[in-house]
Amino acid sequence: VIQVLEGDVALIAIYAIVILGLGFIAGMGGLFSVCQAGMFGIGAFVFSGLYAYGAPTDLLVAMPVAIVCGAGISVVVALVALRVSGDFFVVASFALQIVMTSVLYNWSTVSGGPSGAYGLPSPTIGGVSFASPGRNEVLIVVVAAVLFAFAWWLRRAPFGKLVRAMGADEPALQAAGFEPARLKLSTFAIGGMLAAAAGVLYASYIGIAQVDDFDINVSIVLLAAVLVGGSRSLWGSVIGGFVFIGLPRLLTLVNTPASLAGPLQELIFGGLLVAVMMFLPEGIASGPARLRGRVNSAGRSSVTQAVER
Amino acid sequence: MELLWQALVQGLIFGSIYGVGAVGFALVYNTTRIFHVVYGALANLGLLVAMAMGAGSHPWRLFATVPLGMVAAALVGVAIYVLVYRTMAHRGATPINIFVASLGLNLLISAVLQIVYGPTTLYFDYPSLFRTHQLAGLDLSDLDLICIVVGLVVAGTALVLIRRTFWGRQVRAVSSSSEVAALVGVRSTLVLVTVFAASSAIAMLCGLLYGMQTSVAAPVDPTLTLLAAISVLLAGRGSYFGAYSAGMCLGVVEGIVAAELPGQWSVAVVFGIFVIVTLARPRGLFAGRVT
Repeated sequence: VIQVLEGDVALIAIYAIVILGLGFIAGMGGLFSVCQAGMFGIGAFVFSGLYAYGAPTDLLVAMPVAIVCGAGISVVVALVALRVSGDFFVVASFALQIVMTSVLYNWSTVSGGPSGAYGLPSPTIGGVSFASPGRNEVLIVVVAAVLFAFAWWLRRAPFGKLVRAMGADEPALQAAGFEPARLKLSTFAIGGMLAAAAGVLYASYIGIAQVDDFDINVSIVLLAAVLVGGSRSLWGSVIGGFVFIGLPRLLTLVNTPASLAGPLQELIFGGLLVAVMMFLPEGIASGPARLRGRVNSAGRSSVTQAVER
Repeated sequence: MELLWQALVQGLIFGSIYGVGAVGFALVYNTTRIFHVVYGALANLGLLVAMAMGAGSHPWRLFATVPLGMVAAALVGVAIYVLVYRTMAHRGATPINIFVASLGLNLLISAVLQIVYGPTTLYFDYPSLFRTHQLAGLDLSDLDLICIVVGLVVAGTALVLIRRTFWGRQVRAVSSSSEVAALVGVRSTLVLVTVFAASSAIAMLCGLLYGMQTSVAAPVDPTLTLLAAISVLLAGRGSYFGAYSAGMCLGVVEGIVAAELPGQWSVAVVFGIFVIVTLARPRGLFAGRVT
């Protein structure tokens, strides 16, 4: 098992970053966005676009460009979230995800159309190549670690407390005198940035960017990973990334044909999503607390914490 | 000019299909306020059941297998209501939790269909269906006419059933307040079971028409569900004829964009319009209606 997963450490780290980003939006902020795969794709296609148009693809260039694009487009999603909430917002983000996928499909210079963009260059930083096996993985894991440290700090900072309070009880936050609008914009910007950064790492790591890897089903699975993995902790996203990549790999261990791996993954995530929504709507992490009947006090306490800071 | 007319007619044909989808989606949404996203998966499920019994091979088989497909979709739809939505509502789940569960069910059914039916794409291959007629200088096939007629019949029947029958009155009672409906003796669970069954059967019809015009494959295409949902949101809660017309409008917009722009920009344009409308009028185009 360990051997099978060894080759996937980089992919697990990449998806963990994407899920970490969605964790801020959906897990902590309570804004159930189903277009995170699109944000992830924007990073990947910024990289392939820079390559296609002959611009430098050095990570020192590609990363900032991708992060700005990811944050910018994510803020558009946030603008929608300011106007509509709850299930209306989910429908709108659903629509945005499909708009993004179809724009990318049509913009074939960047995306290669339905067949995808192939032969993308390996990552370089300031001219130093990370092409050789091992070095690329180390780069990705280091970047992921830095981003996790950033997320850990942000989560404990006043900003993170406010985001969690917004997710737990938005009216209470408003009553305490905080304006959720700017908070939503910055939450989405951070989520988009993280996803886009992961997208650049992904495209430069596997050398391919295909629109289908960033479609609505991936978005739903990502949301499932956040909600299933316990939305309020950072470890949830690591577990989510592990399950996202590891699960299909483990399935191939028990002799399932490779063509079934995708559907089986969807089956498991779909089932988990239904089960968690039915029995543990606060996420698996809330299980023990719910058993002890303390869910409400946990939800409230983050509001009080934010207010009393 | 002629090309534009042809595009408009093409839009009306797909618009009818979306209209049918919108009516079925509206049945559940108007009555329960549940965003029944698994709707598209039910359409595909019913369609694949019909295909497995040979619906695609011969015209007369179609009439024998379509009811079976509708029954299959209805059974699963009712099971989802009873086992998932109803249980969740009893446990005090928020609408958004039910919505996310529905997204999960969509993924789940899509996966099961892919495992059972594999990755093949199926087509309806009887030439008589695609025989074209010249009507006022426009090319129309038998299938196109069927789509338009079925669209009108489904929308019309739903409207009459809801407005004029005892069942319709019960459905409207439950949709305005299930507690009050229960108070005056309406068995709301039973009414909702029929609502979910009817909605799923209509979903199957919509999927059938769409599959006949294009192709059938196991992975559930979320576009159809989303078009139905958006039609209902644009029309506003409570209006079945509005939902049908909104679906029609989306089809026409899509048809014209597809004719005028290269590639497949039509999807992006249709959903882009929805997002812009959402930003401009978050309560829908016909805001102010109280139901």
